[in-house]
Amino acid sequence: MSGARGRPFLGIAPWGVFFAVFGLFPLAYAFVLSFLSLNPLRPDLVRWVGFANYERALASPSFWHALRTTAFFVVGTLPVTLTLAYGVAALLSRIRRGETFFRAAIFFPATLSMVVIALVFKSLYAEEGLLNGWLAAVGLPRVHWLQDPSLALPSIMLMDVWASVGYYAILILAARKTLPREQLEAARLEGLSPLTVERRIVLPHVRPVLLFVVLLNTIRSFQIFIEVFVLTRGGPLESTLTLVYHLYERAFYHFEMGYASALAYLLLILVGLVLLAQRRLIGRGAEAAP
Amino acid sequence: MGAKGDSGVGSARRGPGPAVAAALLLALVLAAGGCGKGESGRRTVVFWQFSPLAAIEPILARFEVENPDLDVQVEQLTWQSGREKIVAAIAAGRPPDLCELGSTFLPGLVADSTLRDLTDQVADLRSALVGWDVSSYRGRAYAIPWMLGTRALYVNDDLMRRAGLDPSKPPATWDELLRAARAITEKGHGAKGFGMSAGEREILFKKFMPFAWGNGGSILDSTLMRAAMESEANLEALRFYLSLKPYSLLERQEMHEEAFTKGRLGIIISGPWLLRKLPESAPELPFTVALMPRPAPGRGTPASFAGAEVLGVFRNSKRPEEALRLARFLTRPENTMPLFVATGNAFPAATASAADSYFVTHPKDRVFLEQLRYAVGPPLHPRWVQIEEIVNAELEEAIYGRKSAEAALASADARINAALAPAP
Amino acid sequence: MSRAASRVARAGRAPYGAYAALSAIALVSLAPLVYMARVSFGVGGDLPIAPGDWFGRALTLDHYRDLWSGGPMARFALNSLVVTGIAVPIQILISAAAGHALARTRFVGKGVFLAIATAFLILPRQVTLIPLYLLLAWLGLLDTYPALILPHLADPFGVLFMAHYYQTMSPELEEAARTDGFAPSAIFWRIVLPLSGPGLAVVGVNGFLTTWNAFLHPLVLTTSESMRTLPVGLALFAQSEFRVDWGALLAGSTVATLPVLLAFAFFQRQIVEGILQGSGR
Repeated sequence: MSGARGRPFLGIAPWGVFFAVFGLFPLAYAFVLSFLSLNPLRPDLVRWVGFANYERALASPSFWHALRTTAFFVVGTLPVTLTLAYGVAALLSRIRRGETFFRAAIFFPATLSMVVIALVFKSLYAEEGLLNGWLAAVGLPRVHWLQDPSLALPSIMLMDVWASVGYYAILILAARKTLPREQLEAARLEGLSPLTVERRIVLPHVRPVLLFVVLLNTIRSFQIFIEVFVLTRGGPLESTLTLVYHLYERAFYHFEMGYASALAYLLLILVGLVLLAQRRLIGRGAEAAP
Repeated sequence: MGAKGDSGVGSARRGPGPAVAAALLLALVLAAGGCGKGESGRRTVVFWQFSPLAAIEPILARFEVENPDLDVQVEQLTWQSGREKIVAAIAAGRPPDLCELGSTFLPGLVADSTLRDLTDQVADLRSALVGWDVSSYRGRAYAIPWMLGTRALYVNDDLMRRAGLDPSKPPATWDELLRAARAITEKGHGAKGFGMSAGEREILFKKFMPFAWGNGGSILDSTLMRAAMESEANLEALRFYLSLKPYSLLERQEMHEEAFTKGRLGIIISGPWLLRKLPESAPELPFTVALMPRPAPGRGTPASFAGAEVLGVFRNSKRPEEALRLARFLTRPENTMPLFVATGNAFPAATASAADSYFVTHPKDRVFLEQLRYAVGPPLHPRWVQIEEIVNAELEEAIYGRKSAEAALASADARINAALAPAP
Repeated sequence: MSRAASRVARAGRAPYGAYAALSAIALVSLAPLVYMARVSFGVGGDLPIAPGDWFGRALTLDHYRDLWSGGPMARFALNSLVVTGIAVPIQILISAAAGHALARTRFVGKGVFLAIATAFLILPRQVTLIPLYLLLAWLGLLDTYPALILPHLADPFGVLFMAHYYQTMSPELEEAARTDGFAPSAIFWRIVLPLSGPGLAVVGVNGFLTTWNAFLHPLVLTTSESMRTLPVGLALFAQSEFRVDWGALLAGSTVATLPVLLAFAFFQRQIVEGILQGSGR
């Protein structure tokens, strides 16, 4: 807020050094790589191809298909996850006793590695798995959670929402806790309804963190890979072929590292644009950095 | 807070910066210390492979005794991510000296001359080992076969009986398979007859092609330059395969095995690993292992899919000679057999192993040995990765009913030929 | 009673609705844990499907026993502890420092800087894997603790989060301290940090989870068994080419998750204390 100059570099320096080496370097390397044709198995045969990789991607039906699939995933999970997370945080802030237990329980899914979650859900979603077993027990027909091309992606989306709501709820809760209690007391004494309190006092206060959660979830949703890798490998009939999975296949199965890097940077540009748009929409009023 | 300048208060105002920096530095230095490795003066051979260390280490210990000038540094790879690891290592110019590779990973490596041509150095091993066709391209051997895997028919005896069939006569022809699958589905109280692969596109061709191969069909023609998907033999096979669908459980391989273990699936195609699992998980389940079915009595062969674990030496391996010595040691029957017994996944490629007493006491394993004789592997073609992708995609369309068998095969043919066209 | 007083009295009633909803949510969140536990205690690693499977079958400790004898699990756990124990505190500190600096000051190129930091979060790891490998190989750090620790320290998540967090924190105290002549680092260390409790806890928990559960990078950047971390060790232990050993894997996952849950439970107390301390009310 104050315009102090020169001093921030002291604070940023420690992290900055690590980032420069282990963050910036891979970023730059991948960027250069996107203009090359590189087979990782034959690094000696690398050659410069300029924008050819990018042109190829933009003309590739697989790329657009992957893009559509990923976009569907993001649009389908983001609002749901956000709303649920906000609601859960609101609920958690209303109780006092047992808060520790509920917090831990709700946070639990976030402590599992995505590989484990995907494996557990693999057996839940199996044709002869737990969910279908329950359906059968109540006389309902079996659902082809992962085998039906139109259900596979929604099934993964459901799993993802389950896995991430708790984490974001805790983030939002942390932000809610920085709100001085007096403000809430005063509002209550004034006779404002809980919903109004929520809208007029809490929401503006947690807005920066809320925006952060949206940005984070967006980034994460565009990046989903492990879920697809473990559960469906992009199928059935490519219905779950996300951008990162497509990228992975090109890099490690077809050994096209340059093309994969171009795909990664296209993803980067796309997500960057989405994030900017989100910040403009939601960030209004929040002291978002520049 | 008060006046500046007073040293007591001033020290509170000074930051902890230096102290923190020193602590960080110390922590990092200490951390870096946790990594020293001893030197032994021997030459080191770096070997990457997939078996559990407990199984492979005794074998390597014996190698080191026999070769006192060598030290083996072994690393276990994961099936899930071994590929990334190998690729990263090669890209960084630090490949292992000897590496176990799955036959499905092999084509991409051969295409780019990443593996050394071993043909001349292993001429003497030709007769001692089986499976050279899986690791050779145009007559040149790029890896040494180590273990061979294949799949056979597992049949649930109970479900057969309940379906009115004789469990001592597992289906030996396509007709019998279809009939058995139908009967089991109709009379099995919710159990399904056959396990058909779905949701795992990358293995579809491994599940279907054996039927085509058994009928005389193939993916590429004998010159390996053109597709041969659109053939009568293939069409017949695909039509048959699709006819199994109404009586099948469409699921992934491991779920098939899970269902079979629970007695809810009558017939599946699986490998020897299931023989280790069943006694543990379902000791009471009566089952039979049989060869894959032929197209018709006296016609075709009971073909199955052949997979292999091979040993390859990379182009820029630092110790290629030593790596070969290790490979020769590992492929000896007495060294491969214990690995097979420990992991139960694939059989020794050593021809002498077939006579091992293990197969006398384990008759079900013997069926797999027999099956190996009719096992076919995909051609080691430089463009195999693309070909495989095309075949799998078209098969998937047919299985999900998006395309007819004819259309799928025709499309596969066209796409493969396009992929095989000489690159500009 | 006056209207205001009766409203206060009503506000003190227990929020039954909230408890009911939260209980349902907690159940859904924990259900897979129950599932994991049941499978890990099951014989042969069977997956319990039908209701009868859940209770009818025998239970066993075999998988947990095998975990212990199946490999140097203790060593893997130690490695994970060392890596996480070193990386996370450092991460918290440098993230808070950098985040604070970003939140409080303007400088030329700040936008670009933030964009690049965010870009690193967006770029898929598969693409940064090989450059990282090359870099560490060149530095001679492959297969060492630094290889496992250093990449995590570059994670911009903590920095970006703390920047947002400090924006919601009023800078009055800091400005007062500056006029009083406190050095910037002293302000940070003695005034800002103690007030950052909840934010630091979030960064810490996130860092802990990311570091503890990291799989692909530790897998590729280390080669010797003595350097493996827990997730990697578990994957090797439970895998075979064609099937997942459910019992083994879930037993291992349960064991790997417990420290995380414990750490989180521990952090929770810190959060509460941090708040009470920081608000000084």
